[in-house]
Amino acid sequence: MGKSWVGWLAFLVLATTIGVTSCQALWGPSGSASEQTE
Amino acid sequence: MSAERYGGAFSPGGATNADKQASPAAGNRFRGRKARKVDVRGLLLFVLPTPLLFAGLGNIGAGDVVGAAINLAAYASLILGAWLLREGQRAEAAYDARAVAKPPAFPRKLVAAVLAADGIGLAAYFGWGQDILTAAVFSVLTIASHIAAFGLDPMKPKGIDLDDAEASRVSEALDKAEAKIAEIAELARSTRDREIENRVETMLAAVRDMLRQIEADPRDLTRARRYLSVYLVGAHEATRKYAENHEDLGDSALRDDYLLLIGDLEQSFAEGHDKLLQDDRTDLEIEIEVLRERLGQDRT
Repeated sequence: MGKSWVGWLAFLVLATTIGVTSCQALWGPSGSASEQTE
Repeated sequence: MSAERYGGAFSPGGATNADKQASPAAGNRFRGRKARKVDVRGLLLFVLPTPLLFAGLGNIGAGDVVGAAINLAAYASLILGAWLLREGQRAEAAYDARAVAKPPAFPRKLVAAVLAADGIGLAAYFGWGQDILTAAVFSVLTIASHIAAFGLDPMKPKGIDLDDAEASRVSEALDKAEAKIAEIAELARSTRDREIENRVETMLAAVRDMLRQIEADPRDLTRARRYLSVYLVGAHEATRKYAENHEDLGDSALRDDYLLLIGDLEQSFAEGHDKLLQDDRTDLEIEIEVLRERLGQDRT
């Protein structure tokens, strides 16, 4: 039972990382990918 | 009290009383099959990177080619990772369902974790504009949480010793038979005929019973060789030809012949399975007898 909690917690971290990074890439401070590359 | 399914002689799958007595197809066609698990978490991984797709499309609209390429590459990497994870979970389910199995040849779940980390690294560094160290930390966090959440691929062979050529041969024969079963089921579905689908599934359930029996006692493979190399291949050929030609020919007599063949094959597989069980019982009886005789000799 304890193991499944770890799995869900890890998934929460993973989902937050993917979600936040994707949203920041869309609306984030740098705005567009090319600003960083320029 | 027993319930009987509603339906007459002309209902789909309906059979007359005489048919019911003659056909052993009353077995459950889902016997020996496991329901496929749907992992909501795995599906969410397809949805979560969607903003990256919009970011890439927005870049194209703004004429920013480099930005679009990077955002779309990050999106593609995450989606490819999610797809590989799903394939890895399917391979793992197939591995778990078998008593004798080799590990999947390609570590799909591990590569899925690497692809997710790669996508996040790209999106964090270029899209979000974080420094390289932060992007690297995000990548490591992604790979670690991915492995903790979904685990790694099975790495060890199960129920067999790879040095043992005989066991390896059994595993290969089972793999081939499973592949043939999947192809036959797919061909039957392509006929879009519910009765044929049901009858073929019932026959395949009998084949699966036989495969489980071989898994339990790999010595049975030699005895079952005729069933797997002649009957199963014959069933595959007949189903393929029927699926390819039934629409052009439109011949109901051909359909009846095909159904009869499937019924006969199912009966043969069921009898074969019973025979294997009986042989195992005989083997065990002989072993017990021999041991008892030896014990008797040692006592005297």
